[in-house]
Amino acid sequence: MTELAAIIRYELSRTLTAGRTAWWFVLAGFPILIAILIRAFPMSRARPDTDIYGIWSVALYLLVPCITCAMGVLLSAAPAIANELEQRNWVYLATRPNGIFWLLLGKYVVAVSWTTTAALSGLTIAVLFTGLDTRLRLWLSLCGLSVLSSMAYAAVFLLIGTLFPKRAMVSCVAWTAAVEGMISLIPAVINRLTVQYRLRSLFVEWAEPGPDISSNPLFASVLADSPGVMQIVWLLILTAVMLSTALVVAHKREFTAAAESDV
Amino acid sequence: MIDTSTDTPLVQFEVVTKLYGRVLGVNDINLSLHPGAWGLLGPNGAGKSTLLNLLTGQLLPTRGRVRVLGEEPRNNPGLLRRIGFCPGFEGLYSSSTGLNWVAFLLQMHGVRHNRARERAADCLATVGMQDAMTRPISSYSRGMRQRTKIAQAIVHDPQLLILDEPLSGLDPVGRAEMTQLLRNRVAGGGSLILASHVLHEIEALTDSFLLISGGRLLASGTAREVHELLSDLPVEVQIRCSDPRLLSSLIMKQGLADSVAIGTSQTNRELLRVATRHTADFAAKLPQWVAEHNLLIDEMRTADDSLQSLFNSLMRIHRGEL
Repeated sequence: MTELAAIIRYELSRTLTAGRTAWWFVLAGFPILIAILIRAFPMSRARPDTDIYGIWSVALYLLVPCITCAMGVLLSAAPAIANELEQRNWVYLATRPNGIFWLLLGKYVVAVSWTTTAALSGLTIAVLFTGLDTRLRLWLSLCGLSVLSSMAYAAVFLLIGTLFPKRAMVSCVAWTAAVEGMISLIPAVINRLTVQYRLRSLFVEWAEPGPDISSNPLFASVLADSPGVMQIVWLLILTAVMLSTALVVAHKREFTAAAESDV
Repeated sequence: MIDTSTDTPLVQFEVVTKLYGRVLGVNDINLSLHPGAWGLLGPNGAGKSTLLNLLTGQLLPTRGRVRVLGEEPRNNPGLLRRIGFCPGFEGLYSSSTGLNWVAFLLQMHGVRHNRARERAADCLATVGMQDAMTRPISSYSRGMRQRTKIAQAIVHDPQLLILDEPLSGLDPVGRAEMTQLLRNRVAGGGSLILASHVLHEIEALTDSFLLISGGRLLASGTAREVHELLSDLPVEVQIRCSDPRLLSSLIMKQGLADSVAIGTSQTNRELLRVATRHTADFAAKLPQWVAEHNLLIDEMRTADDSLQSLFNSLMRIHRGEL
């Protein structure tokens, strides 16, 4: 574990650059900014029966576990291999015992930590702007979802980055739009393979954004009917499978930092 | 500690071919090297980097089998503990200090943080980086980066050092210091494979070498062994004189040359190239022709005994010119 600790320490120190720190603040500030805008909009005067809690909970769910977390790991986990290859650091780790294994695992841990801290910081401040009486419950629900979201998306993006290192970011965005954006909403069994399906089901169970959502036939096929703990188990299985596959692919595949002209 | 056992070959290649799609990296290489210092010579694009990547397990051969210190190098943590690799390109974490970077790479061998920093500091001092090791790598000169790269390769005291152009970017003092450092390692029982296209860098360390070109192994062994193989080959003599055409006709009439060619020198003057096996007869006749035909000879060169001449001869054989 000395190796993993070394990678984590080293990668964390690399996140302290001006560029990465600025991105951290952008991620954390994004839900806060939107929350301020929502607060400024005279929502409560629109209709007397407007479900303020429902609007806030859905908005913060979309802003933090969906957008901020996915964006955070997109920036930190997806280019894990591409950055090392482009900067030609790869070879120094590839020629260390199990160097690539520890590198990917360490980058995964750092990506999840970096994203989660930004997401939770933004969420904590954004929730304060809601003015809701039940904001503690909403905050706890979304904190749990943010951690699970970061873990799952980081594993998925790490795998995509390992499979397509030269087009890692583009591939991850395309995958997110197609699979998490569209397939997760298709009322068929295939949507159960997506991260979004599990997160959405957990959100409805934990945060209860509306009184009849889970019993509404319109939502029945895009929400799981099994208990929340099963959604957590599925997310952890998905994370473990994706992460393990990324490690196996990196282990088997021939990556070299050398340019083609170096033959 | 360095293992001085010589029972196991240092490196074995059995009919190794590596293809990058349809591009040939190395082709049908067979070799077995004993422990010690070896120079890997070849022009750019010869396949040196591919060979080193095969040795360090970063690449798998398309065909054949590679053994390093008796083991398959690909995904072999045990072997990687015994190998130190210094690549030909830079790729250092520029925001890090040299000390942190080398210590970090040592921790990848399972050495704990504090011990790794102590050892890294010692090692950086060995390569002459004691004053700059706590500065960011981005502030290093090319020579300092090269020294740092060598430090990361030797920090875990490997049995086999594989170095790709390790002296490039170093000033003459740095070259001398690093050459001495590598000599000391070899003298202490360590093995070394050093790739370079600068022959005198290799000559300064060893006279055992491998020559590759076009992905093929042209020769391996000591300079003496390869010279013996080439003893029947003609010696090339280059002459810059007042009338190269007349001189070439005289040489051909006497039947002393295997081939004669008139080319152009760097100063745009005609240059006569003579390949001959009859060097003694040629040397005896030349003054006579000069006197009889009032020839002026400005310059005459023959191949010397260095690796350079050997390299040139082998390359000419490879191209079918000899």
